[in-house]
Amino acid sequence: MSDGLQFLEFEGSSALADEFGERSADYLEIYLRDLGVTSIALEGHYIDRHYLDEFANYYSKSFSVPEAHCRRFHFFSQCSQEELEQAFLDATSGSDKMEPALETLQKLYLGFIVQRPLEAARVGRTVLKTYPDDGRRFYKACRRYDVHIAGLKLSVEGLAFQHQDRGAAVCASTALWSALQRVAFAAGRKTATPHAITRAACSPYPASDGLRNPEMATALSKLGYIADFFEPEAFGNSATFRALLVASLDSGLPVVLSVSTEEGAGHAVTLTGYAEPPGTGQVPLPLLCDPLEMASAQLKVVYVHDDNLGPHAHYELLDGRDGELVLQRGDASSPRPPSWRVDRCGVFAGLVPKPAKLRMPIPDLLKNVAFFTPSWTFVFGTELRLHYKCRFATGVEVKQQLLRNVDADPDQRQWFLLNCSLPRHVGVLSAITDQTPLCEVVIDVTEVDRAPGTPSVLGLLAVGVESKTTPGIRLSRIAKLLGVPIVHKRAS
Amino acid sequence: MTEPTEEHKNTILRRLTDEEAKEEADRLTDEEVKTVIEEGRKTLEALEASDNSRAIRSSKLRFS
Repeated sequence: MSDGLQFLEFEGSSALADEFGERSADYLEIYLRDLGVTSIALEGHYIDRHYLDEFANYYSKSFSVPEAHCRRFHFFSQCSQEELEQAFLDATSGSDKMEPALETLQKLYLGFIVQRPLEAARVGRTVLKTYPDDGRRFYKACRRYDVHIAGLKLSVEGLAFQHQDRGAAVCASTALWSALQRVAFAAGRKTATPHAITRAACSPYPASDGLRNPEMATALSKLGYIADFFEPEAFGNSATFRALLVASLDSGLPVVLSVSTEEGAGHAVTLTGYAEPPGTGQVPLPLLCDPLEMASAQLKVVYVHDDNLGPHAHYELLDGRDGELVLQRGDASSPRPPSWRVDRCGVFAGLVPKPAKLRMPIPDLLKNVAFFTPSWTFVFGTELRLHYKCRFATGVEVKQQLLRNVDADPDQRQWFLLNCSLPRHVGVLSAITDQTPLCEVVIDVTEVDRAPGTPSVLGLLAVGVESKTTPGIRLSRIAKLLGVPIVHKRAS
Repeated sequence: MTEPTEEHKNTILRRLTDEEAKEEADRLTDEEVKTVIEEGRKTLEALEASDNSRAIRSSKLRFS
């Protein structure tokens, strides 16, 4: 087999099955064809850091030792094998054709799959573009990957997926590994390998036995992250759990969902995104507090990395017969692939890896929304039918978004940008009417509240409200009493 | 409750004249606003005190 770059036509699921095994071939064919795949560039000798760690620590000590290197398949759309080859020749020619050729390759690039030399788990690290968002799919838990081929740099937005190999790691470690791909990247760190994650879990049993939730949390702690954890049963309703899933995903934090299959086996998958819920619903709060109106309460369709099926699979959250939350693995009306048996799994818990300084638990975001609802009712009255969102962000993102917001009052915006220090991690609590954000409250989430019952408010970004309106005046007074700056909407 | 119309929204978010804005600001007392903030604080304190959602239930199951 040649080690040099080879160019191939994309031939569908039979060729995928030959290269990657039967398990995901049909799903990958549908997924890649939906993205418009036509051709492949194949690196015959590729060293994958994650597989190499598994090889060094597990496979090299086996009786029958596989190869230490992999192959990597890169997928492209809208060009034939010959056109793809010509584009690579142009991009590496040293002539003035280089730049346009590289731009073309970037435009057509769909991502890659690493083929591991493991007969039963050939799908290694896989990063493929997501479906277009079309304004209704949200993949904030994905990230950019820089890919180097033949000295060229291409990039693809996605989240790494792979099959569990059952030797060095099973679904729990693999699901954590996918989730950490995003969190480590955001923290400026390298993602731990599946083997390193399994080792960090400190389970005394073989890797093939799997991990319990506390062991998964231990792995995250040892690797330098915080494990946030929530269970549907703890809230007595599914709306709160759904709201926490959306808060996590909107924060760019993939969620590891632990589920129980119909056969009673424990399984773990990674949520990478979700589809816009059909409307808003109520997130109940305890102690007879008014419920929160949130779109996330109606979360139904989620996109999931499941190594039983493939990356970014369409799954659905449903309410089961006995009030439990169920993950339906697939779209029952139109399974993809048609051969996939859509089943239902009971949802046990969500585990969210977070950067170490992001200390506020995700459920506390909802509590902080509850702190502000009397204020928003006071400001806007009851006629506007507000609904709410909450997420974590970085201080840098908040300032960058404010800088780009042409609707913000320019003088107040400038003052905020030049004079307000923000911590690395903040919470953003949003009051929205219809689709119009009215006001966002920025809070510090790097510490647990020093004064119980009082959020650490850093600023009010009321960019849906002009200052010389009744709500604008009331928000100004609230900001003054809280001792924080406010940015209104510019006067029209 | 009926859905708010665009007219509702425009009414609530209407820009006031300078005189109307001054009247609104003068009418609004700090006490009124502090009461609202205090209501939120009591809600948050009560929610923090009653939170028992952190106990891990599914600790015996292994996920593989």
